[in-house]
Amino acid sequence: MLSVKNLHVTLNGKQILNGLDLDVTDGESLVVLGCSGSGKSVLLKTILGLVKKQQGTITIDGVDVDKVKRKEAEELRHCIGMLFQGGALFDSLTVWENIAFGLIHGKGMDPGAAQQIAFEKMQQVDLERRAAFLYPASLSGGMLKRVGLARALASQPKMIFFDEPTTGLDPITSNIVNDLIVRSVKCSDLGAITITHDLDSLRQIADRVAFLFEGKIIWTGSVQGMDSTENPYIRQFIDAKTSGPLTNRNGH
Amino acid sequence: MNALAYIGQSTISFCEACGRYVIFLVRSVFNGVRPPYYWRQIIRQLIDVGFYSIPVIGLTAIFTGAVLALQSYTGFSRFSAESALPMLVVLCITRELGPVISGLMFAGRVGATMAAEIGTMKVTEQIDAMYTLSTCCYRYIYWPRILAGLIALPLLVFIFDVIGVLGGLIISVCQLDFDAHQYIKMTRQFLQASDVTTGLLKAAFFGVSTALTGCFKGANSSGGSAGVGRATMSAVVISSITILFLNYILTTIIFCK
Repeated sequence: MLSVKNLHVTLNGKQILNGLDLDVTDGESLVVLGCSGSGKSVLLKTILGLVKKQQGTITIDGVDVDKVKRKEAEELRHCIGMLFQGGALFDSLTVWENIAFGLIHGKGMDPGAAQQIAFEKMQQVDLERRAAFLYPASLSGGMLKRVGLARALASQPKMIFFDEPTTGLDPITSNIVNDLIVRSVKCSDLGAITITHDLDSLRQIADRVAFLFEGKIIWTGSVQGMDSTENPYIRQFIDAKTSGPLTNRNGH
Repeated sequence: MNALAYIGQSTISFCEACGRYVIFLVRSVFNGVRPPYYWRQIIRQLIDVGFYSIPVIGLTAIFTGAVLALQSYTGFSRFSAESALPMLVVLCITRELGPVISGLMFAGRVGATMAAEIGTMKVTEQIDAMYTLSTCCYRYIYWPRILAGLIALPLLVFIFDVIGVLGGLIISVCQLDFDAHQYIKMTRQFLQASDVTTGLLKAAFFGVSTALTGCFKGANSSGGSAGVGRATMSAVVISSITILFLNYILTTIIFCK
């Protein structure tokens, strides 16, 4: 279980997160919505330790990451897998080497055994075996996401983060990626946080929705609750209206 | 008052950058010397940085040696001291031109490549991804490059020395009517081991500073492709200036005791 309390993050003098609270239980798929630049990616990166927080607590499986030794905190954070927005695959490595990277270099696994796991994960995300020896430069957008997903799953994380998993994909490939996400999360009983602007995608993968605005979660509820809510922020976002509280206060 | 504020601000920024540079070096070394060791990465970097730089270093060396011989001959012939030419060529190349010109070529080729490659990894989140995969980027990315710089540049400078002297010999024999046997004999007579080793020592410093600058600039790049471009440019500029500055300091320490 992941719990974030009163999180404050400032980057380049700008307050990005301002007292954010968030909880995700095991096996739950939470989708974080919000306008562009509202700090959704920063939230994930702060939880992973890639961005420094100024204030607040992050608890993973009941352990406050600030109250344990740095190495233990890193180990806790490494129980979280991440699918980056652009895939973030290593250009100089083949597909299987990318998938097995964390196993070989992070966990010291034998390359032969890691390759077998990489092949299994490729199968899990519907990638053909012959793609294993291709380099990321020769992959399509959909394949990049699949490889990124396979890589995130390879280390058997307890929780997984998806940063805009369907951005830049056509509707069919988006649906395929959404199916893979649902299948991966549900089959492995993983907790998941997904950042997306894609409402169709959200409806497929979300158990719960949280809306981030001005550095705080201002609304949380189920997908049905989101569709029926009269909250003016959520309504403007869902209906894609150009005027409303989001744009008035956000200076769009 | 504004000018003073500007000077103060610039001084603080410079000191801050120097501090971050040193911290980066310490972290790289501290993480690099502890296991796991990424031998494959180290060997790959040695090949990329060292082996593939041999053609450019070789070409630079042969022309440098040739021009040095021609210019020295012109100068020496004015006071009938042509016989000192082999000594001048070998000492200039081993003590100064070898390490400095190789270092500058290395900064252009290797410093730029490192900054661009690491900068691209940074802006495409590959370095963040590496962290999430429990892999220390100091150990996997930066240390192999710094180690490769430390090992490869002295070897390249040695190659430069040999080819540069050979370039001087070829021009002296073919164009300036020197006797090859006599030229080689005089070169061996004047050359001391310390002339070569001091050059190689300088090269080790230049190699580390170039690799470190390339890695540091790449790792701190931001702002997409334009940011990577800026990081690459500043890596080359800073590496080149650092080489010239370090050369002055090391020459003062080594030769002006």
